[in-house]
Amino acid sequence: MISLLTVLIPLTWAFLIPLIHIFRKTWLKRAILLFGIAVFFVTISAAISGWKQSALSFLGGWPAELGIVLIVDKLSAAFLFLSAIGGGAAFLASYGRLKEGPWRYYVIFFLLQASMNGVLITGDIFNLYVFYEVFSLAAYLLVAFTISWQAIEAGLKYLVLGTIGAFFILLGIAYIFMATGSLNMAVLSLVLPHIPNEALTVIAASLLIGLFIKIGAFPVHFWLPDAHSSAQTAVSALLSGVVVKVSIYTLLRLSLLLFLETKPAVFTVITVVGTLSVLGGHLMALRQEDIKRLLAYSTVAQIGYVLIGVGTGMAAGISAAFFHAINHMFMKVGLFIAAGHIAEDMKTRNIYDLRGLYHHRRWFVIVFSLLTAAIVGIHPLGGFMSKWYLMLAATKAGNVIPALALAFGTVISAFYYMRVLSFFYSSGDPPPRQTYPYWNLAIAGACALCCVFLGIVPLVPSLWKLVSDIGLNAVDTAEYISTMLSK
Amino acid sequence: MEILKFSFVFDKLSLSMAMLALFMAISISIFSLDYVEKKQAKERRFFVLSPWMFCVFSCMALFSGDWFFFGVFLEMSSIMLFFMILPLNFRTALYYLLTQLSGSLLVFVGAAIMIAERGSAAMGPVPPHLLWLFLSGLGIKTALLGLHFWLPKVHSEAPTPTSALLSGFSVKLGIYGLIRLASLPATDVLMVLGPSMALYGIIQAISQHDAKRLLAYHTISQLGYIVTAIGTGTALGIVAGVYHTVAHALFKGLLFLCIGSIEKAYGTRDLSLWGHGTARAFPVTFAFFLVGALAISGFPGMSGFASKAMIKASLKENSFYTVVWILQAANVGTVLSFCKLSYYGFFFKGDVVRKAPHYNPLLSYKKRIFQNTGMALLAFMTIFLGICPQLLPNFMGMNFGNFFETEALLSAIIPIFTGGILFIVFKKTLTPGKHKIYDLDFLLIKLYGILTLCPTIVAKIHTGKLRQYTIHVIIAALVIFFFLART
Repeated sequence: MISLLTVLIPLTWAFLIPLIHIFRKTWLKRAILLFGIAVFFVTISAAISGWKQSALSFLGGWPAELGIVLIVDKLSAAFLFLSAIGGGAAFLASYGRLKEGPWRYYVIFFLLQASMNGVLITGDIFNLYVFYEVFSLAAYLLVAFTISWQAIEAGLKYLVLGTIGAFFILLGIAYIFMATGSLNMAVLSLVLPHIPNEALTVIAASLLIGLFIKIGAFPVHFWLPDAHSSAQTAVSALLSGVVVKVSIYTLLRLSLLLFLETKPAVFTVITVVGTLSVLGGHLMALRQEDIKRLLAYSTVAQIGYVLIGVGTGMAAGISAAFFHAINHMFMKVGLFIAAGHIAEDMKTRNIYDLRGLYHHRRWFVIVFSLLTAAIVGIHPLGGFMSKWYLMLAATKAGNVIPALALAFGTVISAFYYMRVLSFFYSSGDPPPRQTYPYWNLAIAGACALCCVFLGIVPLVPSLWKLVSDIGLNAVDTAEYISTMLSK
Repeated sequence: MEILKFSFVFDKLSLSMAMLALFMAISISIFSLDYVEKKQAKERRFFVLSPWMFCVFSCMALFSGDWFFFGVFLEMSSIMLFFMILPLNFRTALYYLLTQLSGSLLVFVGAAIMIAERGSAAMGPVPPHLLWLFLSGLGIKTALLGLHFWLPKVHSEAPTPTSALLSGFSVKLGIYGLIRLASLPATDVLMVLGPSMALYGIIQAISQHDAKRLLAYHTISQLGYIVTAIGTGTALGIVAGVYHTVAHALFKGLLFLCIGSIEKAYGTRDLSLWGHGTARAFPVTFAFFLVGALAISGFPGMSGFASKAMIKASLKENSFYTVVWILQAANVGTVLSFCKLSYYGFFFKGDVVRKAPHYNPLLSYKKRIFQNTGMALLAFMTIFLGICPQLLPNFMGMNFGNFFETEALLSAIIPIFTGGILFIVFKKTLTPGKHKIYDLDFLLIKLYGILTLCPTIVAKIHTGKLRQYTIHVIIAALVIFFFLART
């Protein structure tokens, strides 16, 4: 039941906010904060309930073959946890800056949260598409929310490319329905091996390309740098930290359930695309002079790392991919919030104009440096550990070239992040007076601390077991199917 | 997935290297007390403490029982040195960081493949097909021929204590790795690379006019001796290699400290601006320099003599007589270039009155108690090891017999005389001038120009036009489709 609430509660809030705005304007400030906290706790408790034992809820009491089933297993629970934390951080960042100001923003924000949670818990492939569309629409709107021409252009690009991606996904789902007459993922997993190979090829290709567009993987990533850099601080953090991770969850779930046995070549494609993303993202980040754009291209590369992990198709690789995803969530949320605050504060995003920041915004630069060290992969921090496990998994699957690309990408990322830091630590003119840094600093600092903490997770057996369970659970499709069809 | 477990290895090799690290840290941190003025308290504290941090990380690397942790601590020690170069020169520091990162990442990839294949990556010989990863990774650290491009630049442009640590101990960590690798296919490669490094370093060193760069090339040449000794692969060869590692660390550290303190007084490293009674102004420093120069030339009674005698013995044992002659020739070159350094650096009185840009009388040797103490420690150990040459082989469990035999003495003294006579003959030709000297890093700059094309080409596809992005999507979809259809 609680899994249903993770969708229903944010959805209700989204529709309550306009009503409160009309009837009780003075309540708005407290109500929004309360709503945000409530969403966080509901999502976390759904994750915990699903972690112990797969939690199922049959909507309308229909059996799995006919109705919609919501299922929270370990993989979903892990990503729900990620979305709760990332969404909570982004909510706090936006609340700290905007307060209750633009109520429409919170409507979209809660819609986004509801639909993301929906994607994470649904067991029905068409339902997944519906939630996917809702969350994409919310994301387009959030990108364009600051009505500047960059934001509108970025939102439009995101809209057009995202819609193309969505059509590909819809095409894949339509073919699936035509071939099998079923939409439940567990049922599909059972019947897909019996359909013609040609049909399966078309289905796999359409689903993959659609998801790659939504993820922002390299050859089709064009909307991502624009959208992530033109949006406002909290939205950038949310997009880069959580939204792409939800798309990665979808890719993970669909590829494991539908194609693990029937079409292993899918995983080769994912690995190749991941390698391309690593190289392309890092090489593009090398050229950027706009700090948020640099971070956005770095996201493309980090997604590539995650895809390399997914592409192994093994428990170790998937655990490593999730570990990197959660590391990247903390790092990128922290980096985007710190960089976004700096950019808004200094009224520029060009790194040359951010010279001498260390002498005027000391704590921001320290937090930024720590997060940078984590994302480059300096030893005791989380980023290093997840990259090491990705490398281990990739070599175990025999993918030596992706492992080398991972190493090469690390060197390039060290180069461009050091370039940014060198500007921060050099001397420069004093900037204008600081405005309200505390919220952002606290959130970014907490993210940095989490990166430090995640670095010791692989050293503690009990914590590491949690991470390795995710991969084991994800590849165990038989258990997923039997749980779903048990009723 | 397995958790990370730290395993230790304590044998005589790692213990003797760790003692060396400790000794280097002690003397260099004492030296640093005078290197930075008392007024700059923060920087002074940093330079005094960081050798200790470096020592801790390198000892961890020496004691770690598998390649992964070796790589981790190798990287951390490099990062420590990166911070030690940073106050003086950002670009050099970044250059150093990136080269060392790529080295340790190659070791990581090698370790990952090894774990994937064998289940563990214990320190020791690696399978032959992974040798290229380990040799190139450690080779960057050790400046094997072809991978040495970073060394002259970094060693000459780093602050003096850092140069001493770099040349004294940092490159020796790579040597330690090579010693652990020493098994058949690796030793053959090392046997070829070692003598060529010894010769190449000398040829470059003779033509240098930058005092620290000259010493840096001597480091390459002396590393060639060590690599040759490891290349024999015998127990005697490895003890000889360790002995020369220790000896070289001591005298090269000493030489860098001497040259560095004179550089500080003159404000330049250019040999053509030195001379004119430098020896009289800095008698103590000159005495230390002489100890170092005699040791590197292999003068009997100094540590260099004993270690070189052992290397020659180990080569003769396996009848590599050609290699012995190559090393003797390199030794002649060493003497020649040190004659040049001491003559033009300390005594030369040309017809043209040349004046150092700003000779600072305040930096006279008398007030520099700590500086002299640091150098005295290193000089003492150099002489001590030379007088009691049995000490280290005995510690390593090897009885070498008599060091001071007529044959060994003759083979040490003849190159010294030859070098001296050659210097008197070619004195004019060796006058330090302003000519440009080419090395691999010159080629690298050209290569960098080509490499920057990569991001430019990638950036070409980011046109900002939606129709072209759509075409990219369609092409990607078709590629994925045909790939999946083929398999």
